Amino acid sequence: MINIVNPNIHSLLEAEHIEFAYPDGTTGLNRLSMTIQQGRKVAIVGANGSGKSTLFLHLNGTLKPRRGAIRFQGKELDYSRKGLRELRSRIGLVFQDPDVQLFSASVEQDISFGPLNMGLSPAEARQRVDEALEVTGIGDLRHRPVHGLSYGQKKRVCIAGIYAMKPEVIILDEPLAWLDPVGAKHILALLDRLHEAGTTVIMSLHQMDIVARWAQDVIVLHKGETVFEGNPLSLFAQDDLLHRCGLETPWPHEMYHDLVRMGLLPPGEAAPVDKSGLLDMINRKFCKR
Amino acid sequence: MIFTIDQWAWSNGLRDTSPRRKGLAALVGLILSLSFPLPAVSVTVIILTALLLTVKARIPLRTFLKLMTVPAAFLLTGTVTIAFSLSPVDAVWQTSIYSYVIGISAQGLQEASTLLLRSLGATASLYFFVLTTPMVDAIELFNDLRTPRVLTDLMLLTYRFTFVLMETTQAMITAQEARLGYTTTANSFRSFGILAANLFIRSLLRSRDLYTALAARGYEDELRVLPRKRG
Ligand SMILES: Nc1ncnc2c1ncn2[C@@H]1O[C@H](COP(=O)(O)OP(=O)(O)OP(=O)(O)O)[C@@H](O)[C@H]1O
Ligand SMILES: [Mg+2]
Repeated sequence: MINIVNPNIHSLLEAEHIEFAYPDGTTGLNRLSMTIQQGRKVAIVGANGSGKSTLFLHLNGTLKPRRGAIRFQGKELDYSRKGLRELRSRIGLVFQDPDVQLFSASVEQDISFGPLNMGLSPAEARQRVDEALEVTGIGDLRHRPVHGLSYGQKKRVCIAGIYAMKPEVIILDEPLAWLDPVGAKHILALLDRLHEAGTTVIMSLHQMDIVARWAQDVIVLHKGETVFEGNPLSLFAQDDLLHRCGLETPWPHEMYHDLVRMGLLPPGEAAPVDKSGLLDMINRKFCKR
Repeated sequence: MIFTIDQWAWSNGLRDTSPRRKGLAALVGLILSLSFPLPAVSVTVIILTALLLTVKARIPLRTFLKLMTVPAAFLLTGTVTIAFSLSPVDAVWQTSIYSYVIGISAQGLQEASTLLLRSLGATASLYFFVLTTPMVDAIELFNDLRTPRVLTDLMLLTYRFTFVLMETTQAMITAQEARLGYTTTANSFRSFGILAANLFIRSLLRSRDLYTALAARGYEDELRVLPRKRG
């Protein structure tokens, strides 16, 4: 089924100089370019209004750039009915606002929608629904109407709805917003499992310490442009860039600088980005054996 | 009232019984009360419904009775007029106003009470269905009965978005109240105007966003979903 145009290409999704303005004239994207590699865990970060959601709507063909090109597996997106159907069965998008995505009052029915649209048999779809309910940890919500659910619960139903379609690429627009810490861990673990199974996972988020621990690649957006593409470590080395984009470094990183300033840790080393990195340094300095 | 019904529909003891069977039961009750103008039949239907609802569906009798009072009030005003007549022959009670004699005839009274009971029997049957069947199951039943898809899809969306709209309205009112929106009459008028205008705009935007989100999951012409898993 999957026809790869050029077996040598590595980039899965590519945007080249895409421009987009909303009907009211607001700039959504401003000559944005970015590349996403197959099978990676990618974090998209940026201040509010930097264009994350707008970019996502371009990646699944909902919005069409005014200029520039988007390529999936080396082929430009095909905006015909058939092309979009194919694209959306391979790229799943979990929307930022769950009330927009959930159309049925029944949790199960809503989750079954995507699989049935992909042409799965009712039996297969049923199996997907059961599995999705299970992995997202909402089996107990099966018989609840959507309108009684909490916001975080609704978010999980949305994730289940896309999970059930088993897309090759899953894009999640702030999936962790509103989730409790345990719920967030649960979803991150789920995303890791998807990643291990070969899915490319793209998500936008604001928690930099999660970016540091979770992401393999980071893309930073600022006013509709890409200002950084690379690994988290090299991003956090660029304080001024982060500052300019209204972002923060993860707390272990800041803590390290504070400890250096207090003379407790030696300067000149690469700053750690997560808790275990910081603990290692402290350990090396104070618990020399 | 909508909320009481909806809550019970999702939480009653007969929730997971097949909607076909519940639909059939309601239909039988409806036909019985409408086609037999006998108080005994209507009363039996009402009592059976009450029994089914309380024993099988475990819905408190009070809830059912309270819900019945709503249509009962309407029906009562409608049927009372039938009981009255001008110069009744077999008057149970009468009075004269100027030169007219107005009274309740025995026959009129009987007709009125039969009509009232028949309507109540029919209403009770319908209540049985709506109180025990979640809306999504009812829609499934309509689909099985080959109702045009456009209609049932619309029902599904209307149902879901009734609640979205209610929640949005409630949230907006709470937000306005938190900033003293309804403290004075002038404030109230202004707040209400803003509320109405914004609800309209939000609904329009919502419908657009909904379409986008449906399309992202492959929506083309039909809202295909699985029947709810029961039991
Ligand atoms: N429907 C719309 N009409 C007009 N302008 C819009 C619309 N949606 C977004 N915008 C504008 O486009 C820009 C990018 O918005 P976008 O929603 O992509 O940001 P975001 O990075 O997802 O922000 P957030 O972190 O708040 O979700 C913003 O300036 C925003 O005001
Ligand atoms: Mg956004």
